[in-house]
Amino acid sequence: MTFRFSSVVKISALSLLLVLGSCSRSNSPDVAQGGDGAGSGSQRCRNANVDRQPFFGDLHVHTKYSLDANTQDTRTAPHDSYRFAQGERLGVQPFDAEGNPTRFTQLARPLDFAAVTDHSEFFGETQICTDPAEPSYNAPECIFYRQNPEQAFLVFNLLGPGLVGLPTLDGGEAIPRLPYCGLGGQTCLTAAKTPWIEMQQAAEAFYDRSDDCRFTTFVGYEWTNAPLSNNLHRNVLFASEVVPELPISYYETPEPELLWAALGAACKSEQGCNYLTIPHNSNVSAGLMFQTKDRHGNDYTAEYAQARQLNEPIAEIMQHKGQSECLNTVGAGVTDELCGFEILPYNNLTGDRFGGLNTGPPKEMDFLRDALKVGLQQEEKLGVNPFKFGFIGSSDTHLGTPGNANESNYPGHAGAGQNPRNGVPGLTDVIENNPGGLAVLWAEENTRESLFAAMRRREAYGTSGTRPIVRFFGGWDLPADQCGKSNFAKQGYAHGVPMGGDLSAAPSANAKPRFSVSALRDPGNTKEKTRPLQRIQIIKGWIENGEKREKVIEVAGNPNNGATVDLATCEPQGGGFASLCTTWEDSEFNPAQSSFYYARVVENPSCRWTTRQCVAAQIDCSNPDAVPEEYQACCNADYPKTIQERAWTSPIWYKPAS
Amino acid sequence: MKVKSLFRMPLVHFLVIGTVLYAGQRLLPEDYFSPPEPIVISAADVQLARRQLRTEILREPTQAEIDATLRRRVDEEILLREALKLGLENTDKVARQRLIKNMRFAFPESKEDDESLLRTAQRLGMAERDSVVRLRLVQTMEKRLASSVTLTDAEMRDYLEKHPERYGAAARYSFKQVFLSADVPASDARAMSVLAALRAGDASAAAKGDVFLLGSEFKGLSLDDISKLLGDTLAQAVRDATVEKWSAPVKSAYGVHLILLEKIAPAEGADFAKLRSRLAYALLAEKEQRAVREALPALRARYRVESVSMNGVAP
Repeated sequence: MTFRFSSVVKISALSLLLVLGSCSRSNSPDVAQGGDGAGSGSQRCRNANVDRQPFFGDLHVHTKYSLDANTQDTRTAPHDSYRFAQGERLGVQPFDAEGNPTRFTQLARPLDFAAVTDHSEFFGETQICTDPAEPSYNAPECIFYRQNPEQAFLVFNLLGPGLVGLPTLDGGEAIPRLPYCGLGGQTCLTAAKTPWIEMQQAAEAFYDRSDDCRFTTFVGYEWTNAPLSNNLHRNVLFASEVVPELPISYYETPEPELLWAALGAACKSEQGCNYLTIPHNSNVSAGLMFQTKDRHGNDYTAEYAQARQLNEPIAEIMQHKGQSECLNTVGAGVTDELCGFEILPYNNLTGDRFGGLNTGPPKEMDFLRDALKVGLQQEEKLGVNPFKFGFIGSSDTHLGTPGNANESNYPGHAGAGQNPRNGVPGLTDVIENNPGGLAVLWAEENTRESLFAAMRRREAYGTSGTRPIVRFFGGWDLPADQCGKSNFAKQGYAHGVPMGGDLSAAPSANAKPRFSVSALRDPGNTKEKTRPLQRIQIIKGWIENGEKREKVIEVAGNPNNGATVDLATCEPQGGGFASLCTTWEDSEFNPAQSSFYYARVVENPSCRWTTRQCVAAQIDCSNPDAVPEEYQACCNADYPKTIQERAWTSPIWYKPAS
Repeated sequence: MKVKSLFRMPLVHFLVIGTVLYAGQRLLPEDYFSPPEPIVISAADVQLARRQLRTEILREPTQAEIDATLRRRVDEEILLREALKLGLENTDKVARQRLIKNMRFAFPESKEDDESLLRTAQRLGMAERDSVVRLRLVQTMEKRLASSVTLTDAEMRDYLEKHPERYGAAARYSFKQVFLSADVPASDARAMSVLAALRAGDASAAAKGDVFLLGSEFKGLSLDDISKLLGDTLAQAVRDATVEKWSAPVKSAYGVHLILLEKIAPAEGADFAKLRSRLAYALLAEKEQRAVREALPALRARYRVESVSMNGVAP
């Protein structure tokens, strides 16, 4: 065996790194315990609140590493997205001949958390150290890596504090990023820094681990399963920086159950790795997202249902490509006109391409309200509810701009339409899309542990893009005057469960559950004007003699407050509520029927993004021939001119005692 | 004498000539004898750029926009060719996987192994035409151009100084409030009367306010936190308040607030040692982007661009 001097240098450097690596590993914060009670686990942040506080974020962001963003000339990198999420200005396409952006966008209010989730199918990782066929498999670095994967992960992918760089010839310092580089760095150059590594580094660069807790990032990616363009996509989110070396993609695991099995094997909690998956756009899954059959066409088993429930605690109820709450057609002669909100007019991702031949109208089974009921039916049959989803909103931005969900100043989320304010005309997106929504988590503090625990227990709600603050509790003895108490939240936690929770067993045969909901309007700020609240509803779904039932109950506010919008100026007309609070008891409750309840908080009307851009461009549809081509959609009567922004809380479930 | 006979041996002549030729070839630039083919922008490319821009910006693009898109295409083509010169379509895992997948789809009955399929794909020029492989190779080349970027402590300290808004701990405020809801009549008048009582020393007057979902005590909030929960005006009022003195009424979207600021924890400077790894990653990402931009002109100089009709876009 020939003597390799370079190996000795590398091994010494690695030993030093290992020592430093083990030092820096010890100050990771304790994991906050879950459970429904408020305030558990040790706390790190100076503004930690034992009664929990709302954090606003976006867990669905695409950058240039997603093929479908890149082909639309998105050049935003993951670290650019995180800077944008914290409130910095970002330049976006179109770019001029020198490569400078010609449009700029900026959040009026920073987010508290975000995750860049590019499509994993495109990353590819060279398995230098774990593939025996690779030439560097027996290099000292790789042997070290395989023997100490956790330490090696830290050493190889993170820079611990106090890490020394290796001196270079010009007196500078090279900080080793990929140490398994081989002779002359050849292997390194071959591997290059892959998108997966870069995403992890960007997440690390912008996660505030100090007690200031200003911003939290999550490492994640999108698993892109779309058979025949029927959407079965899921985002995979990791709780910490310990993540699989290779993101498990659709190529390796073409079905959700295979994905979960592979994630379970690759992401072990004893090594500090935890994950969950978040489905989105069930509205364009053409009946597939909530079909109760596995990949072989067999009915769900209890095991399958359990896997789905554990892996998928939350789902996107709102995003750029429409809402997935409910369709405007409901059985038994009941309609919910508020379901006619941001409905995509087709049922899969093909949309109106190919002359509409590969798609059809939306299906009710693709919407979460129906899925929740099917989940109760499955629970009665199997003992486990596979569709126990809490709700969040997202952007699904392909511009790399997390949280850009406001109807004003909307630059689009893919494509390069010009913002009318820049003096160049054209709507910034196709008419059926919208700026998306936000995810809100009730957690003690803004850390990965605390936020991830909130996702797991489903203490979450989604908004359609604004920031109302909403609390929802359910319990048998919530005080009837909970809204009059100065400690509303404490009362809720003490006498019931928060949104996302499960009601305990009925204490007596005649007991009726109570639900308290309290909402503050989005306070807005000088840059972002908001509307007051109009009303709150509670939506109940249940199974009666095996049949799905639902009811929408007005519990607070005034649906007929007459609030409108002046369509010529988008100025609001009529008053609303700065806050609403109520405690409602379900007098029709039947302890033998499984059920769920969620709250929907609705704002006064405001202009849709299309109307705002059309008004700013002074488009007059009374003379259609005079309307420029790029504003033709302004005159499309199939789409409403105004919308009512809203929030949906995660449900509270009830299961009859067996 | 031995040496002389050495020089007469034909073998030695061959070796010397061979060495000279070999060294000469190494010294000359690799494309001296076979200069790279020019990059051709055809009318079809211009049409494609126009059509793609149209779907992106939903209107007819201007000539400047088309030229900018074509310039970007040329840069990508240059990076792609550099990648193909290095044989990256054979060594990059994503590119390989994609090409093999395409070949197996196109020739499902083929019994050839992966390597032989890859050679066929190469002959077909598939790497340049498949959009996934193209993108992957372009991005891989960009990464290689950036691979020599280094960082020094001095640069990181400088970066920290240039971005005070990103790093460092904000000032944190702890305060109490009495809230008078806008949904209850006469909130302004009630606020004034409660304030008068509080300032006169009657602490029990605090209970005369209305309930507020987020409670009446706030601890350790930054101004951003306060803005998020209560709005800008409240945040400014807290910032301007005097400790242990009930403030004049402040209006928010919710109603009227009386604030008693209890404690301020001042803003803290950034601790370089604790922030070092975050600074390193953030600065590294920016330097790599710059390195790619700066490396492109040298690459562009190696290629000629022929165009059918491009207004003033020189490589």
